[in-house]
Amino acid sequence: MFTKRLYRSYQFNFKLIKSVTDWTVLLYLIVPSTIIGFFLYRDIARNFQVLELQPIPLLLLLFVLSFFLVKPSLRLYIYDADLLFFKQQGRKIHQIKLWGYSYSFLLYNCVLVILLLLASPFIVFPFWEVLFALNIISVLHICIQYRYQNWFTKWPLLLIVHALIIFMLILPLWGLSILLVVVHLRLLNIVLSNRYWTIEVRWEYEAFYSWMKRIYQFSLEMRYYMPSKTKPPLILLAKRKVLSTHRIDNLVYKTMLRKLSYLKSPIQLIAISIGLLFVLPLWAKVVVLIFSSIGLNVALSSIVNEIRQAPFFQLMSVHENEWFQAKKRIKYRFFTPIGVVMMLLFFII
Amino acid sequence: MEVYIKKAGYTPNQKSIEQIEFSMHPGTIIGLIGGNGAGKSTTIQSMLGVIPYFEGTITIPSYGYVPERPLLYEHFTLREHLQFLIDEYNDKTLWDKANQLLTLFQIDQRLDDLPIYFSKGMQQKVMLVLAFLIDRPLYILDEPFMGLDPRAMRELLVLIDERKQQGASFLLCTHQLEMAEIICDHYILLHEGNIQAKGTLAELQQMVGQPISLLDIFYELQGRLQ
Repeated sequence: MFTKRLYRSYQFNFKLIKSVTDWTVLLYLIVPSTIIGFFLYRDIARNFQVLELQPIPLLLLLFVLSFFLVKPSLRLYIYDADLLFFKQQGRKIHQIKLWGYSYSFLLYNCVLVILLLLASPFIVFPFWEVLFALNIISVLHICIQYRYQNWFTKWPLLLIVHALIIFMLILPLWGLSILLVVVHLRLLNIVLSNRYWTIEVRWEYEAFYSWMKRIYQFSLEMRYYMPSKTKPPLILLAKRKVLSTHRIDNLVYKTMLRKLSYLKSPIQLIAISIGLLFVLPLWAKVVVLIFSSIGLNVALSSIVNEIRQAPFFQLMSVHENEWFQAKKRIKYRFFTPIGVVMMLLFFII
Repeated sequence: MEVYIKKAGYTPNQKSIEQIEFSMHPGTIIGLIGGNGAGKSTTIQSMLGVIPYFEGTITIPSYGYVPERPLLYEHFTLREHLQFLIDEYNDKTLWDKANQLLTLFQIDQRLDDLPIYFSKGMQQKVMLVLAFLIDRPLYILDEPFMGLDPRAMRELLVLIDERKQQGASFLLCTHQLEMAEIICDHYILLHEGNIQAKGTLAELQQMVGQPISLLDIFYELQGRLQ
């Protein structure tokens, strides 16, 4: 059952990538970037003077990196529907969890080994000790996740864990090995107790759809098919603040503030346009200004139109004119400051 | 309030419901009942005007609507959902009423949370607060008891009764026939997109020839068709 589920997961991601990658993307984007990336890395690695840091700066660097290299959650390949035969097939569930556990850490270690090997031409560090320490932190990290759900809320605890384990790199390898076995046994005990079923299913759901989320956020049309979110955001911006006395404007501003992918495309466009104003000749700057204003107009319109499609508006009646006036005001509010800045840059540069 | 649906459906040549006709009077509760796929939700969608293919005439005033599945705005907190509705009416006193309803349904502590992460029952309570916040002549409730705890269910029954006394009409679509029998004045039984029977409980009992419960009447009438 585990292999079937694993196969299903890979099949899903393969179909997903296949659906968005045609031969043009492959020919003009993926193949060239892989080849360029490989040669670029090889050249930089050959010419780079290997860094030999003192123990303390090295430990501090590893401490910072440990937050990026840690395994955030565990994937156990269990589904909600497993509860239907949870009692009758307890042994199978147990086996699936064990396989999922082993596979998750195997995959994590493969990625970690590749990253550490890629880093090895640039910096001298104790490879096995770092690998073991990152594994210990990951296991402890997952244990904290199980207990507190969100490690962000327990950041002092997490800072202490990371700092303690990184400074334990001074221990011999056998010491780290014993520690790793102990923390793994503790985590396995939690996993096999089945007491955190809901969290484990949520992790599986998030992991299953993680690639879909990554790919679909680039496309406005595909965002509609995004899997539903499972946990609330850590910070809810402008929770009690009214951003406009007009209700639609307020709705649009808050949506843009809380759904950063909406903000990203206009900001990208503005940043690229400003960058081009610095390097292009006068006639091309005029073209850039025209195209950026058209692009910004289209981006804002499509964001408002997408918000309008929300099923919520089957319940709340909003008059067509209210949408129209809101769109006009929002565009005015966005275009005036951006337009002034762009024109100033145009004349100054 | 008159409803006449000659035919309605989701695809051009396939009608899901036809010849549905009834009228609603102030201060009455009509129970729309039927099995799965009988056409209850399609009837409601036709009344709301959100069905792609429709022929007929619907004459209804502004209404409060509780959908079968909660319709929430992903990026709005509960407070912002209420504010959005209140802003339409520009009446600050509506917040007092909103607070009463929030307390009644015990969701007053969750005002600054995003309702899309609430439990199913809590989301249903949000829908009820939004529907009952404005006094309307008509309320369309599609499975309003779904997911509610017993206390909230009782509060809802009291609320429905209060609004009914004030002259509001209700169209209640539910599978909980025991509940419908307690509160509804008239019933419309749908089967395969058509009205199978309609009338008061006494009239339906007369139709089957036995003084039995609504559930038994439903069972009896469905049995006759099979």
